[in-house]
Amino acid sequence: MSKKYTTDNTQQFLDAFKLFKSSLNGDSTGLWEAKRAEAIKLFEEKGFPTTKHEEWKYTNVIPIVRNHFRPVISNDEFPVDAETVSRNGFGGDAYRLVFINGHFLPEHSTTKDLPDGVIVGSLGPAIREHTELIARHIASYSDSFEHSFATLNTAHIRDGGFVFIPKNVCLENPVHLLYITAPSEAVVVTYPRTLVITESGSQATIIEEFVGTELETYLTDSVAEAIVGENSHLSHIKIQHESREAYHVGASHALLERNANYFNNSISFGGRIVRNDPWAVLNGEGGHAAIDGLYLVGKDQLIDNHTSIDHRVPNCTSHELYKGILSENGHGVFNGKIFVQPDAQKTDSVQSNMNLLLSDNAEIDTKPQLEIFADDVKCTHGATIGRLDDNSIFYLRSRGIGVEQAQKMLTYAFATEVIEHIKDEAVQGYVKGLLDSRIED
Amino acid sequence: MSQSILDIKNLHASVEGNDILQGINLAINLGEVHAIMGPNGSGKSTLAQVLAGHEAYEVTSGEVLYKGFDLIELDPEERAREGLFLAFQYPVELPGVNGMYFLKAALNAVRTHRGEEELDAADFMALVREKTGVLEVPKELLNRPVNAGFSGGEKKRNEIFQMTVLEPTLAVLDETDSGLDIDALRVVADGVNRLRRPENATLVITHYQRLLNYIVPDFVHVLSEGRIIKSGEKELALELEEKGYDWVKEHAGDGELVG
Ligand SMILES: Nc1ncnc2c1ncn2[C@@H]1O[C@H](COP(=O)(O)OP(=O)(O)OP(=O)(O)O)[C@@H](O)[C@H]1O
Ligand SMILES: [Mg+2]
Repeated sequence: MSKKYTTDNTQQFLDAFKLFKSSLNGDSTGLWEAKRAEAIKLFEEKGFPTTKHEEWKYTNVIPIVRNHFRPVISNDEFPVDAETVSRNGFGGDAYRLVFINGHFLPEHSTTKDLPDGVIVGSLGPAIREHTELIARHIASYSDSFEHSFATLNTAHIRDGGFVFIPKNVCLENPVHLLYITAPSEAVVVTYPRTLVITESGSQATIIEEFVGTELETYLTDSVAEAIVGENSHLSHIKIQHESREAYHVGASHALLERNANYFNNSISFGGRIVRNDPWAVLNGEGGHAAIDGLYLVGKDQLIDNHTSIDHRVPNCTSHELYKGILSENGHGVFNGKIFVQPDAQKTDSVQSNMNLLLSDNAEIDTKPQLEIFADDVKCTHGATIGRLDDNSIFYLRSRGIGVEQAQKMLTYAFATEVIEHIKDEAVQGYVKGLLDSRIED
Repeated sequence: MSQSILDIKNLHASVEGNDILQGINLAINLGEVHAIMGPNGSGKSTLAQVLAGHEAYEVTSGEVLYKGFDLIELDPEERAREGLFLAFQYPVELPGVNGMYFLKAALNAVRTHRGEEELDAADFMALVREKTGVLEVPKELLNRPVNAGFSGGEKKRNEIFQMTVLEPTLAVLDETDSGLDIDALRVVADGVNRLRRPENATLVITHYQRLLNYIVPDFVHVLSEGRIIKSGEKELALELEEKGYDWVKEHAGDGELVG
């Protein structure tokens, strides 16, 4: 029998967990205790997946998990100035929560002028005030336990972003959750956790941004959960520009209720090995999920996107567009699962994965995975792998634009479609800027 | 004596191993407008693409002097910066490339080459406003991605608009009139006529004599099977329209040239 999980390398994570736990000094609620205990036990049993595991076929986690990562116990060690914060993240108007090495920094965060009833705050303190609300949702969706990294994240829940939008409230400015990893003595791991609840008829935009300030090795193991209430609109944008030496494993789970609209856009620039697992579950009729992503994969990088859209009820729609730009010896993966459960008649789902190969050494594995158990559905999917078009380059050159600039313009143009799906203009502009500087490198 | 801008001597070119141009000779002086007419597949676009430097077209012999230097040696972008402009028969769609951004990059590439300062966004916009005014180019076209989803006529207008902004020394228009209604044709012809100055020249490639009512050429050449088989003044176009290419072929003594 093939070995789907390995227990090698788990011990150092268990040791690190003990260290983390003792650092809490009993400063922990009963709820957290229970969730943690359950999660670490599960992790201990399972360990990490091997490439024999179907879901981890392309991503060998050994180079990640053989590192002796340590969670950062206190942020006193890392004084952070405002300049570090503003230089490293989206600076537009937003309700902003800043975390450094996993710890909340109130002095750099701003939640002024929130509409009545809206909660935007650090998950740590929030658990005391809103215990019942958080307990009902956090780590309650079994999916999150199938994934060893998500389980580890749950075991380490301490801080992160908590966003609650009450009924019929429309939040104009986005909520910006900025997760920074800064230099440290040890090889650091952080476990950012985000919980978003949009009540019926509400609307919000959440940005999860992950950034490393230096060229260092560290691990970000993140989980975001969203409960998208009836007839509410949630835009969830993930901007990942970690250090090129870093590892990033991030999952998100969205549960959509009746007539909910969920828009997930995952932008991946950084990291040495990156794994994105966005999930959307359509759990009420009339729901719509748009799952988009852009991945720029360069020298020595692996970016693996495993997306899942689960149609559980009738009359829902989903739309998915993932685009990849692969250069040098970069390796990209797109695996797009669409489940249409037996009850989910009249599902309408479109999936598209497009890849631009800029080098002969780059590699892309693309696989749609449609599992359809209902008969009256419309599901289309397509994948393309191409190069820059010679005639387009010639057209630009014939106008005086040099070859290199022409290639960059067309590469940028290929990517913008995904970014233009971001409705917030300031955020869109920011991501375009990041793309531009990545292409200029 | 008038000054030569383009001198094509015994030009042979092939594409994918097929010899298409079979010895073209053509001399254009500054201040002149030349028209090339010819049946489908005679090599008109091949000539245009060779002049612009498309890599798929291989020059197998002959030479092309542009402003006195060897054009074939130059990269396509260097030709453009030296004032050569090709209005494409089939302009390429560039989804995701903003029209304004594209044109500003093009203009600044030319300006930098000439040792002029790059235009900033504001100055560029002012220039565009001025030029769109006279050319009646809908502003929306420029805010959209280049040619993406444009109608045939919109694409042609966009080519002429680019030409107007870039102010080339030698413009080559490859069937810019094809498929245009009379209003669009006037816009295109106006664009060309406005640029008509003693210090530049135009090569108009067309199927139809109609365009030449609006852009009156100094010389007309008939291209057939990769060669210019007859040249004359503007009356040749009318004669051609009336009697057809076969008449020209016979009249030119086609057999003699092929030998
Ligand atoms: N990229 C190419 N690959 C293969 N053959 C080509 C290519 N471009 C042109 N040809 C061939 O070269 C010949 C001349 O084509 P060209 O496009 O120059 O003709 P044209 O005079 O412009 O015709 P039209 O009036 O239809 O525009 C044709 O036989 C055509 O099939
Ligand atoms: Mg042609």
